[in-house]
Amino acid sequence: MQLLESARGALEAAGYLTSSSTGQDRQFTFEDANVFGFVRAFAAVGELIETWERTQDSFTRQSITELTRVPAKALNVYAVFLTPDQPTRAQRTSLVQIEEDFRSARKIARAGTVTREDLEAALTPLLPLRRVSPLVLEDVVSRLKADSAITPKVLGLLLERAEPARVCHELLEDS
Amino acid sequence: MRLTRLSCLGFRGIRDPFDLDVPPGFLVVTGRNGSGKTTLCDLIEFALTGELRRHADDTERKERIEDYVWWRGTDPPRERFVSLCLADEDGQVHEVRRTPRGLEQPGSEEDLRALIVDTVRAPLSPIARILDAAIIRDEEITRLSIDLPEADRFRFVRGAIGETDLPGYAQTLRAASELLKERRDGSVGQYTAVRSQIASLSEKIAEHRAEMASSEVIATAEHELRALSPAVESVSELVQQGRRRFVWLRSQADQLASLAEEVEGHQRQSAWIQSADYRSEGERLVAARDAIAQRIEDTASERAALANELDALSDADAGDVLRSGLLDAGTTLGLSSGRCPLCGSDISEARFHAHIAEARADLDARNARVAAIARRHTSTQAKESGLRAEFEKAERELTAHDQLSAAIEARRAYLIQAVRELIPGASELDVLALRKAAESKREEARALERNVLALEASGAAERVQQLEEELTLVRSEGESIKRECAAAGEAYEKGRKALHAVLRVEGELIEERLAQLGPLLEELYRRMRPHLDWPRLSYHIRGDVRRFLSLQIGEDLNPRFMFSSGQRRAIGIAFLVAVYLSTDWSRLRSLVLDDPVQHIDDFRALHLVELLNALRKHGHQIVCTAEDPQLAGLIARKLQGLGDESGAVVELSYEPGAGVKKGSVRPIEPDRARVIRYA
Repeated sequence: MQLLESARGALEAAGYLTSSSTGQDRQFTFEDANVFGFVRAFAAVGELIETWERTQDSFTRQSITELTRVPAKALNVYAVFLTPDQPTRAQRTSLVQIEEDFRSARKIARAGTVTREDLEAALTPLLPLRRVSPLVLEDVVSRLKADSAITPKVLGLLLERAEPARVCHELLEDS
Repeated sequence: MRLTRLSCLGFRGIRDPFDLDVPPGFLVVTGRNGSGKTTLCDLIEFALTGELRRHADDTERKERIEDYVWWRGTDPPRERFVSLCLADEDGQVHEVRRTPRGLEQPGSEEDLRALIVDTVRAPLSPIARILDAAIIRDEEITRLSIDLPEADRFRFVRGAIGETDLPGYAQTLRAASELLKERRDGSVGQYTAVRSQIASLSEKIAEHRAEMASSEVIATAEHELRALSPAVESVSELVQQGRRRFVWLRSQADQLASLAEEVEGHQRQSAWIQSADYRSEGERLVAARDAIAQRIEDTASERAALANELDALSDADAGDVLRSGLLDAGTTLGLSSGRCPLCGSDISEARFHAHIAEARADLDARNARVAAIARRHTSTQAKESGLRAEFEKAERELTAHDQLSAAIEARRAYLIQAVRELIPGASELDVLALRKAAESKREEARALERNVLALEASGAAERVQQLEEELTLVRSEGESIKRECAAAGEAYEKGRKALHAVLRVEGELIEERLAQLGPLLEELYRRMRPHLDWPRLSYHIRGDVRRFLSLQIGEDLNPRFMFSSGQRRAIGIAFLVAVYLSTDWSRLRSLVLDDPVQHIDDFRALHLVELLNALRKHGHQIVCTAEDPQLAGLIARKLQGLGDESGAVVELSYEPGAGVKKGSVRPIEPDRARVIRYA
């Protein structure tokens, strides 16, 4: 399933370990130093809403042994439910309710996940900051030189941080 | 650069020595109200800036927040200080320490700034700017973000994303423009005063002119002078031109009179050369010259005859000399034995001496004749020379007489030219006409002088003259002020245009930088998920000179008025974190949040904690306070276990009378155990 592969790729790119879940072709598990969880893809929103809880319980049961060895991660479990199917208004409300249910795991339930952008938006809580980049600083002097409202002499005075009286004198000389 | 240690004594609610190590990863501080969580944030702010800016403007009973920086409870400690330690990228630790006396470590505020920021790129008051976003206080989340007026929000973001020198340039241009405006306004005031003065003077001149017009003599004089100089307006100029003209007229009259005299002399000479006397005189001069020539010829003949005679006598002269020598020798020798010593003949003594005497007399007579002829020759020569001089003089007189006619004709041509210069169109040398013209000029000059004197003698005219002179000066001054005013106005406009250009460029730069930050703001907003129906946040900048930054959701909706209190806090945190991440001129990589989840529901609190985790992964140290121990635990769980960077949860409490006390410190170490196993 393309959605699942994309999700797995995005998480691996973010530094998570991933692993296929035994007997589940629509699900994989992921883990980093901090969290542990799984991603499950659904064909339809209705299926997601109806089966998410069973899916989560099943995952919890299967992982309980391992999680007891890493108790901190047991409190940091993520259950991600995704579907490319577009939700109805009522289904959107149901999805929000799933996410606001804090029992057992932190849930991410998103429908209409079609594009890469949709996928990244859904996985945002698990992904690192993506849009922090150094500012590209422009050459201020060139910008000012290109502006005909500032004569080269006045610009020279500004660059040498001349007193306003000198700038005033230059403006008068130029008039 | 991250926090490594916080220490204080006698600061705010902490009376006793307080030391708290800050792990490189994160520190979660928990405790009930008043347990000192906010004091730790104050400690960081005060150590770095020397002030507490929350409540900075509040005053009550003449007391301010500055009066409550140090312990105000009972039993104050002897020493008071705040200290924090920062580790740089190389692990070197720097202490920042303040006491009531001021900053003690490092040595100066400049050193502190150099430690914390890239001073080349940093804006003014850089540390305060950093802390605006790096210490996110619950009570200020919305005040510094979504509730901030748009213009202040723009300045806030501008300060965070790095200022250029442009505000300084703008300040200089603004000040220069103000100077020019003052100058222009001053000139306008001066010009208005001058115009008023001109109006007053013009009024007075009109009054005095009316007075002049009422006197017939003066009015006539002015009328006649004006007829001569219709282009002249002022009386003073009229008088001056009149003076110049009558001086000129007199000069013309004198020249005409002098010329009349010359023409008269010329006409006398012309009449003379036409007369019989002139011809007789010519004949007389020719006769006189010819007579002299004849006399010269006669004298020359006489001189030639005398010269011939002298030449003949000169030939005999040699014999005369010999004879004289013989006579001298015979006389000296005398007779020798009755014989003549010269010829040997027998001769008596008497006869010998008689012959000697006779010969000597003959010789003397010849010499006397030669001398007489020589004198006559010399005299004739002198006479001839004199006659030749007379001849040359007669020749000159004759030539002059013959050339007089041509000279008179040349003189006539010269005189006609001179007359034409004074009387254009004149063709004849008319003495009477010249004298009449001279008299006419003199009469005109006299009339003009009378008019000038009449005007000058009039007090009104003199007054008008003075006023007009004054008016000329004032007008000149007015023109000068007008030029100065125009120049100042033009310079002011140029200054304003330059100022607007600087502000425009600054705005463009900020806008472009903001455009670079827009995606980050949107990402942070999406991470906070304040509203399910509005998944996107954007910003909008308006204004060319004074600029405003507004936040909007959907189609131009203002979240300030759309969102609930908790949602506005969520958006505020996204905004402040975006600003914090944008301060790339800051070396501080510690984000401090003072109870950020108050008034935020659990769902959004969870998103905030996940955002903090993302910040941790991005290399930022997190210091976060939370009143709720369970929330503190949640935060610690989410933040734990990143690389080798440990964290800690510390509990604070308040002991009555003794202030804040540090309680348990629970280290949170990274857990490297895995759940996933690989085959």
